[in-house]
Amino acid sequence: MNAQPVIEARSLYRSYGRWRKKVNAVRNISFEVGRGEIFGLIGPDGAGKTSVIQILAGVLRAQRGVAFVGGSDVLSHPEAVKTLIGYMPQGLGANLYESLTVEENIEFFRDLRKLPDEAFQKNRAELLKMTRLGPFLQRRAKNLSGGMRQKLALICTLIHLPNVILLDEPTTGVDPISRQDFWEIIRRIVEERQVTVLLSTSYMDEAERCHRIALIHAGEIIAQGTPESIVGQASGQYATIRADPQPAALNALRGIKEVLSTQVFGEEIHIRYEGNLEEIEKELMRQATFVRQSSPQAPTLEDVFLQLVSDTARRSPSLHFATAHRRDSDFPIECRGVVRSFGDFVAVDNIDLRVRRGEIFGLLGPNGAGKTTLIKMMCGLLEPSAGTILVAGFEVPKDKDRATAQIGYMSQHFSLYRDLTVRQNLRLYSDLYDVESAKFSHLIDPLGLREFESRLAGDLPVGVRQRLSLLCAVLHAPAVLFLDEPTSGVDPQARRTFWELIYSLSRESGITVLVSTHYMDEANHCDRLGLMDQGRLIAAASPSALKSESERRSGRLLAIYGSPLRMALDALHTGFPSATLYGDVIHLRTLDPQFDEQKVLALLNRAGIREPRVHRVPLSMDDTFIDFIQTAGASHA
Amino acid sequence: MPRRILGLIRKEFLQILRDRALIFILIWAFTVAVYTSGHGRAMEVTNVPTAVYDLSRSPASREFLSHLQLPYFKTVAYLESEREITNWLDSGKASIVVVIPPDFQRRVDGTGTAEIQVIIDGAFASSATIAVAYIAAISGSYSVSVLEHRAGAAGLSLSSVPQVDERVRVKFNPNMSSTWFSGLLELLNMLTMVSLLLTAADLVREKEHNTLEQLLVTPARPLEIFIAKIIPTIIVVLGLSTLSFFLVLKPAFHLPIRGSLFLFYSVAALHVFAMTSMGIAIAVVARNLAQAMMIMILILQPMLFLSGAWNPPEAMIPWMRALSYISPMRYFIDFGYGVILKGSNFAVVVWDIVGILLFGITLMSFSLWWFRRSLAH
Repeated sequence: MNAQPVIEARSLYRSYGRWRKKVNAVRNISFEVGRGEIFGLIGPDGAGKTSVIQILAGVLRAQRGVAFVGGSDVLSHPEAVKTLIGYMPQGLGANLYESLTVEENIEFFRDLRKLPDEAFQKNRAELLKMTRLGPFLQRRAKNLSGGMRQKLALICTLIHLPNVILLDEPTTGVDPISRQDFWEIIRRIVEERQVTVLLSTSYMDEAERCHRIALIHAGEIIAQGTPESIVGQASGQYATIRADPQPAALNALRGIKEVLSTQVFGEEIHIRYEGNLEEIEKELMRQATFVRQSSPQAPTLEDVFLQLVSDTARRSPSLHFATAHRRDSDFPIECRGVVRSFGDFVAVDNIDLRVRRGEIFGLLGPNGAGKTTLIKMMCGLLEPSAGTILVAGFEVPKDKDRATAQIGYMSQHFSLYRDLTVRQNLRLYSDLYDVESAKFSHLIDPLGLREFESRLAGDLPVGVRQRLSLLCAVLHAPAVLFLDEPTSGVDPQARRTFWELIYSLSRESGITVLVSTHYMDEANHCDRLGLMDQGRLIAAASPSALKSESERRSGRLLAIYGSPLRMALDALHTGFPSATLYGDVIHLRTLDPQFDEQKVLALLNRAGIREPRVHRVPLSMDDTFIDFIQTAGASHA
Repeated sequence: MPRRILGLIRKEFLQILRDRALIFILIWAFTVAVYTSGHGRAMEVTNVPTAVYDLSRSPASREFLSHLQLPYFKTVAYLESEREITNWLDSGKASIVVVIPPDFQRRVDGTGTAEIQVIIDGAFASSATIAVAYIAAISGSYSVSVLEHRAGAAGLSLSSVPQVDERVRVKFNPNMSSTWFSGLLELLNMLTMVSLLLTAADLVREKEHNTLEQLLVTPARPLEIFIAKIIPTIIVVLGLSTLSFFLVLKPAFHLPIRGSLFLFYSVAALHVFAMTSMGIAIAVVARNLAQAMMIMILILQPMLFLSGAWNPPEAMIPWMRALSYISPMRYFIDFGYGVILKGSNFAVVVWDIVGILLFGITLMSFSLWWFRRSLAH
């Protein structure tokens, strides 16, 4: 890092509201970002990321502390700072004008920045090329897809070639290909022009793309450094276990003292433990479960985050229902040729899908892929334009009145009455479903709702609201539970608890769960995944099957290290044009790993790269999804 | 009634009771607002600022001017020149200028017609019209007194001259008290507007907060959800009307209640049903609160004008009269005045009831149809 930081924040403090409703959004936040550095503020929604970025962009006043950007004092001269920076607010293209075309939007920002024509033309051409938006100049902003909007927003932010860029959640809800493009643009402008980038994200897996990161939780920085150094702070060991039958294995693991925490990801159970993995395995065998596989695993950033936020081992809740037996098919969710169009726009395009009883099925896709529309149709909230949907054996929406008793639905927005208390909301829903409170009152404690019973739903923390919504959705013991992006806006800890509850509903009460998400890493919780893109279901299989299918088709993923990295990449490009830079690592897909590993090492050694290393690494869900989209696109074209 | 509807109704009451500001506004609307409008929208004119330009300065002119008395006219100035007339009128310090020509005395005494000129600020047309009518009455009675005077001098009695003497008996509102009229009108208006606004705003809010969507995945059906909106509104609005009757209209304005209160409340409940149906229809069509409010402003104004409260339907131009038949207010105002002031019985107001009922059922059917349709579109 250079001696003089470009961005400097010291002891920033900001609160909202007063008295009882006071929220400390930013508490004693300090960090520095050097020239040419990509610095990521990483944390869940509501952690204070946006407030920090707004303070540095000069649009929000800090109540205490000092902030400098490019040598100017933000707090005393916010206007001076605004000319130095490019700031992109949160939301897909929030700085754009809907009714203007791509070209008019770009020109508006030129006028705003009073840019000389020559510089403007040059930047414009360059940015359009990078974002591949050139062919869409005459399209109105409102008709762009989410990813395109975000790229246009980025062009508008960068059109005056600022030296400092502040990006607030630039990739949230963006499709994986646009996300990849986005990171590539950022990487290039940083490399070519030594631009300084401060960005925020709630996707933990994006941390690796940054040079340095700060983990933010409840307005405070809980860890700061390079991604590797933070992951290195993890204490205890991690392992993945596959065992049959899984519920018994999970119970057994929870009884073992050395196991500090458990978390189910589809067929796998992730554990944090102390001592010896073999001992734990033996103990499992003794309790009559068959361990198919157990392997140590490197902790993730999210693991570290959870450790830092609460270091106490928490016992997982269990939700058990006396689910009355009902007329039920083996496939409580079935879609045949389902289409839904809004005017010319086809939101859901010919979807065939069957979900087994008790299965957790995930719909994974970017915003606008059609997930919500599909779920709404299954709940009978929208009529399909074509095709048939059967839920718990009833056709919806035709037989909706009979199906509703079997359907639980949790929408993507909090949809209970904010001006009623927890108890009053529960009372309402028990009346609506004609269920006696005795049937579900035993769930109030495991869901951690007891202490909030007399609080207004609107005043609850997000995680608690989520669990209340869940209870209202399942108190009638439905056969099928639909969850539309249930964890957006929830911190990792609450998210983990939430998934434990979902798991318990699925495994212990046999409820079939269909859940949508745009968090790629969350997809691993599901038994099976449906990848959705532009209204189509491009693949459906278990996460591991999807990954191995992608590996079979497009090859294993190699992570290549070496120094200097730039030279290493150039050297690799002579033999592997598809090698890409991913943070401080080079990624390369290969169908013949054994041969290519040798070839990579040979190329690196010949170029005189220091400490060359090649590892085979598992594919991330992101990589897998991109691969499927590209193959699906190719087969459709 | 199914448990679902009872649960929903309980929820509506809890929400209303939780909203202290709303309760305050509602009570205000049905008490203070009714009281002020009873007094504020008086149909007489009082204290009209009047300037006099008396060129005659004769006993006759003074005699005439002495009739321009309080409480109706307040003489604010005696003008000295014609230029002053415009000044007083333009500045708004005077609304009426009475000009008496120099030959007034001569004409009154002689055989010609004595003329006076009245210049009036017509900007506030309704009070101007009334003031003009008063002055016409004053000059009329003045003429009669002149006639009487001369007849007396000639030894004739005026009673020997044939004339029409109108003996007006005002039914239902013998003092023609405008507070009765305005106060009751305000109550009927409030009853209408509150039913409409309360429901529309509430349902749009449910839409915006996605609570409606959540209800729709439960066994609750659209009609049940709507009924659960209507019943609490009826109870709340009728309760508030009772406050208005017994805290304001009766004690302050001595409004008689001549007809059956039971009939009034029953039909008022039907009217609230019709208006909540309209609120539901608006909420179902509107995408957000702002849109709903704009639609309501567009609908409420003409609805009130076409109600016949301010000018009777008979006096409207034909196409507007035709339109007034689809204004539910027309029926309700007609009904309300009939039952409260005239003591009309069921037979008299039956067509009003039919009108209100048809209106409500039509809108409710429309809402249900649109609601179901929106699932498919």
